[in-house]
Amino acid sequence: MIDRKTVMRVAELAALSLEDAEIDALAKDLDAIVKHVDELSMVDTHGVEPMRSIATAGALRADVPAPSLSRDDALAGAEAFVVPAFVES
Amino acid sequence: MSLLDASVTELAERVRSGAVSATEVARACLERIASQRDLNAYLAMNDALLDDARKIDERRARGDKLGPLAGVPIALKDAIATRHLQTTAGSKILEGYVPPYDATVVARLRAADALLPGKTNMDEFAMGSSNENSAYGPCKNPHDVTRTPGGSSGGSAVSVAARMTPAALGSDTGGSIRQPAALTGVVGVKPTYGRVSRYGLVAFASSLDQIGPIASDVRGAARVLDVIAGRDPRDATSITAAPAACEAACDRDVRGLRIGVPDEYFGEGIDAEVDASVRESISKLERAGCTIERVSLPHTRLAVATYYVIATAEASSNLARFDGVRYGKRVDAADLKSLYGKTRDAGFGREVKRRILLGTFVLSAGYYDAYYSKAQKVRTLIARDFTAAFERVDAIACPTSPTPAFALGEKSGDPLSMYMSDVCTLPASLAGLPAISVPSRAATSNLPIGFQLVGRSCDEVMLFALAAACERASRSPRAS
Repeated sequence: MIDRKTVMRVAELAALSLEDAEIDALAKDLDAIVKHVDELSMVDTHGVEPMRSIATAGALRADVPAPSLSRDDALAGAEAFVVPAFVES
Repeated sequence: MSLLDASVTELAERVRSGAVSATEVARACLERIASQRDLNAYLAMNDALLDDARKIDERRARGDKLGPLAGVPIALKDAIATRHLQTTAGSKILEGYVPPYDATVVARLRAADALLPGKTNMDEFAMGSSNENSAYGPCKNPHDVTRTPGGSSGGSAVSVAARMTPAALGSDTGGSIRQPAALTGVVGVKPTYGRVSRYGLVAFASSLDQIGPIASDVRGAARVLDVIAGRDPRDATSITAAPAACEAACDRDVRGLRIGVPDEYFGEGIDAEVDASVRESISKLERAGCTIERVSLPHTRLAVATYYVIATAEASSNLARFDGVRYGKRVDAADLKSLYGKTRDAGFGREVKRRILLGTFVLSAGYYDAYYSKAQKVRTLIARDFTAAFERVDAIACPTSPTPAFALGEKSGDPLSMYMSDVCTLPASLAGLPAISVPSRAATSNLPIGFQLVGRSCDEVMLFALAAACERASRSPRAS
């Protein structure tokens, strides 16, 4: 059962400051979805390996320097990198 | 007849031969897009389009050999990064974000001399099946403007269906290329996972996301895929397998190929007209010399639950980067934690929040094994179903969408019923397999219906051969 309390706990983990008015509707939606997803619990997966990746590649490129973004391009949107102080003095 | 009624390959040949200039094509394309603005297919336009076209014409005048997409306008889903052109992924949180680089697929289209007129509307962060989750208003289906074009690559499908461009790029995580292609009557391809580089694609669910073409015909989709596919050192998940020659495959003989028809994709939940139309397409392949066999994919019904655990878990992690510091929108606050929280609450739409919360829930302490780990095991079972079927058949034939286009607003208040509309496309996504949707006979309402073919890993060639055979059978008078 996904209730108001669960939504608030998960929202805290996800760094979402929900408006109070949103919380009940989200709880109702999520409860219906999780009830559907619960059908997975009926499946016998004894001895089945979880599929963690379907990538067949795995080949990493050589770690050598190559041309990249120019300094101007890289910093073009950077004036916003200022944040409120978050270390207590 | 408008220049833009030509297919990708016809238009490229005309530009390469000089019968028409890239500038003329670019002008016709801009006019067409402007005249179809009510469909809300585009979110941003490339101001440099006419300059780009002029450069192509100058190169031809100098005697340079032009690329395989010379002068062909190709629309880009707004999840694909474009240098100096706003990229929002349909979200308010990225409003005003202008990437400093081109995605690899964009660089490859440019190198092939394609024209890139603009960025298309989509469900926010590709989360949706109707385009109604776009922060910039829904895109409309040109066959009936009271209906959705499907999603999430709705704008790209509409650009092709309404003849604004002969092709477009979309991205497909659980059906986001194939379903809108089906609902708007065009061709859509989800390549094998890893076939096309995702460098520069705004990430939704990284074990599923794949870029692919939407086009007005099968050969056009094949040519675009041949251009964008291939290993990219900037995407470690891109596969090293030799590129498939998709366009050449369109002329291949399909006699003797074995087509599997899975019981689980027909019957309950599938609209009767969709069922009948798809069975007709299967009969066309039989008349073209294929053999038809029943197969079973017993875990199909679990795909929706499996997908909505895995995709939301990955999304909750991928979307953590949108914190109001490095990209787009910011809501100021006295402390950093409130800045993150308030920015994300104001910047994300309802469905994105739902999915972030669900994904965070299934990964949280105490629930991980019951949901996330369990879904990964069921994903293995879904993939094994296909492996077993492909021991007996060369491709699997089924509907792309359980219904034709639904009405705007019909499912937007009920997330679960919206999720069920992905039931036919999710299994191939979870298994990483290539799949194509081609138009099948339309419903009596004239709404398009899509026919889906799913192939073995890396066997796009088989899909293009079969899809082209279907298309030929639909165009020529029906054999008695």
